[in-house]
Amino acid sequence: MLFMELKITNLSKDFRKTKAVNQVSYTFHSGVYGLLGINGAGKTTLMRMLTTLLNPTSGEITWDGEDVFKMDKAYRKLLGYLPQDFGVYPDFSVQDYLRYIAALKNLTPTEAKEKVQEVLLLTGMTQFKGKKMRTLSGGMKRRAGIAQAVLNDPKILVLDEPTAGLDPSERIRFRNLISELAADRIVLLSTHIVSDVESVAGQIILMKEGRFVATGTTEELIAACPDKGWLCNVPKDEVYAYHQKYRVANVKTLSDHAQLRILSQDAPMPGAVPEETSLEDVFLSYFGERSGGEDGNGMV
Amino acid sequence: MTLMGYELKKMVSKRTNQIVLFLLVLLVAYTSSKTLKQVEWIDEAGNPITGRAAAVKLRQDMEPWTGTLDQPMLESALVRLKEIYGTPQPDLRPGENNWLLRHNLQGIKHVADLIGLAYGDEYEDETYAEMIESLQSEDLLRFYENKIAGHMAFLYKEGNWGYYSYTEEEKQYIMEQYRSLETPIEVGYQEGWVQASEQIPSLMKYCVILLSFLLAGIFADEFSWKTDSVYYNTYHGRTKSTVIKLLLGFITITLVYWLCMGCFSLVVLGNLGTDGAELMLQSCPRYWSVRYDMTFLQYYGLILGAGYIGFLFMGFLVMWVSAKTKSSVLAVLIPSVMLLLPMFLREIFNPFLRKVIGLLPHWLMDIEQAIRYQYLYKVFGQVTCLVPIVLVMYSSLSILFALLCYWEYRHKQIA
Ligand SMILES: Nc1ncnc2c1ncn2[C@@H]1O[C@H](COP(=O)(O)OP(=O)(O)O)[C@@H](O)[C@H]1O
Ligand SMILES: [Mg+2]
Repeated sequence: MLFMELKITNLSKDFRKTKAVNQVSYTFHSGVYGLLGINGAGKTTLMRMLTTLLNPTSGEITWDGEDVFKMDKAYRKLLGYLPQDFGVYPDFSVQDYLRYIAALKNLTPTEAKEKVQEVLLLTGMTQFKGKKMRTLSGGMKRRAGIAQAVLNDPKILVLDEPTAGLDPSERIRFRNLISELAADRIVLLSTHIVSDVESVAGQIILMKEGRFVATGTTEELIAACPDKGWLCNVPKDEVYAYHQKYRVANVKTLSDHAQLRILSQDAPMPGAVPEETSLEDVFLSYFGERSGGEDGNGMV
Repeated sequence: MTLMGYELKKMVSKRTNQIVLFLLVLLVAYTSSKTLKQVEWIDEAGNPITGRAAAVKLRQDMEPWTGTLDQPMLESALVRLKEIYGTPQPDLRPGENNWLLRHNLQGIKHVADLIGLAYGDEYEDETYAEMIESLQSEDLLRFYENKIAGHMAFLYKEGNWGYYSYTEEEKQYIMEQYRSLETPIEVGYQEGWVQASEQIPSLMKYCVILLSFLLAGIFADEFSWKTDSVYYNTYHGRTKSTVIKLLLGFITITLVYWLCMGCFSLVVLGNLGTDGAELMLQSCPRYWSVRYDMTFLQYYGLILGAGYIGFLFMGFLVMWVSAKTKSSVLAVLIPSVMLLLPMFLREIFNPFLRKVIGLLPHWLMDIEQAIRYQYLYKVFGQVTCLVPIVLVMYSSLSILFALLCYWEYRHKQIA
């Protein structure tokens, strides 16, 4: 008997011309998975198929060997989902909202009452439970979103860009929350920010143009990355030329020259000092651009 | 709270829906009071009164002209009419339309009009006095014969609707209907039923337009609020909750319809009276050419029943379109378009198209016109008017759209 195995096989989703998800195969077991990719990589589309919101163009998704679309609500019973962009019932209070979702998730009213208390506490929303949802700030709304996702103790928790729009302290809180939730379930968490998943995700999946381009632990990804980080001192007027030729992870301007951190298989210049490669470097190597930093600014 | 409770909360906590509910109350109040004002009674001084008081006076005046419209009643009516029209008219106040005549006529008006219809070739007010003057009591023996002959003449007179629209077989069928109507008819006061059935179609039409706002939101709001992605990945999202939404729609249609129509009927019939419930439609001059033996009570029941089917049909159609398009915008336009459409189709005289037009849903909210509609249909070798056809057709379509709506919503793709 298989146990807690979520498996996708040759999964594809086409939107007219775009192949949003393209022939992806992977198997999830209990643990935290970080789905890392720039905007448009296909993360949201993949998650929508995993949560049965969207039918695949081809391929299949199975839970312990059974097709999840055939399982219908028996599969949905296992799901918790925080969408990337979601709305709320404007005139419901936070508590009403959570109790309603609990009812939709087939919790009895008594279970719901208890569970709602619990998730309010978990997400730090207890004091706002009477607030009308239309008055919530972006951060609070997202917390309510996480609260609804975990109401039914989901075996599969899917979180689409859960940290978008959160300030740094909220981000840290959130990472702690993920670690708390990670036990005995599959947590799939998408982001375009490396630091969101670096510390919490056991497995990292790099997604690009609808495909999984690299998967593994942070160490495995670093080891497999063909590029290494090099520290080079170059004259200021040559910085632009280096940008053209290499992937530059960082530029530090000093008084008489510039210090560049360059990603390359071999030393880009004599005297370049090899440095330890980070997950951020791996991201840059695959995507050709830096991940969005905590300041949300992803461009070089 | 149950899922139904939360769905209801979503519906009634929405501001636009609160406005719609308020407008519904206003609409019923306005239509009821307008209907009461339709009944008018003029006192000896020429001052009109309306409403409940007018109904009471009118009922008193009609008392002597209540009962079987047979030879003795026709004869005494003729005597009275000759008397009224023979009285020299006083100088009338400018702008007042012959108030003394109207005052004198009000108790006997229904019989006078029936006589006019049976004996006046083209019944007009101007020639009516002359017609009464020349009419002799022995002529009255032919009252019911004349009625049938008049219907026949209408059917066969070149240039008339009937002449163009019916086949010979249909004309025969219609004449058979007229001949089989019960005679002599009973006459009497039936103002409550007449006014209520005359005004209720417009109440229904505005009501269903407002109702569509409540209904469209049930399915479309999940998308406009962007709550769909959470909603649809829950255990009940694609199954039980969809059924509950449909059920809420059904309950909303039913409650809004019966509360609005019920309040209206209660106010109108309560004030104008339920007298005349057992009278046949043809006892009222307005329904002279009706071909069915139907009492006012049956008629009003038919109006309410057909209206309810119309509401169910439009309601489920609105819900289906809102589920299909994920938006209320198009859906709320449906009743207005369907009810306005006939105005543009009035000028079409092509017999085939007329038959198609006869199957449109607006007739369900306009039974009087539907009963009068000239075109006949042949179903399973049986000639019939459009009323039973639309009743069966739109009951079935309501169920179909409810099922389609369920299917559509259950399989919605969220992308
Ligand atoms: N509903 C849709 N219709 C058409 N194209 C879509 C739709 N949703 C996503 N796409 C396209 O699919 C690709 C992947 O999008 P998405 O899954 O949202 O990526 P990500 O979440 O990684 O940013 C993009 O090119 C996007 O434009
Ligand atoms: Mg996305």
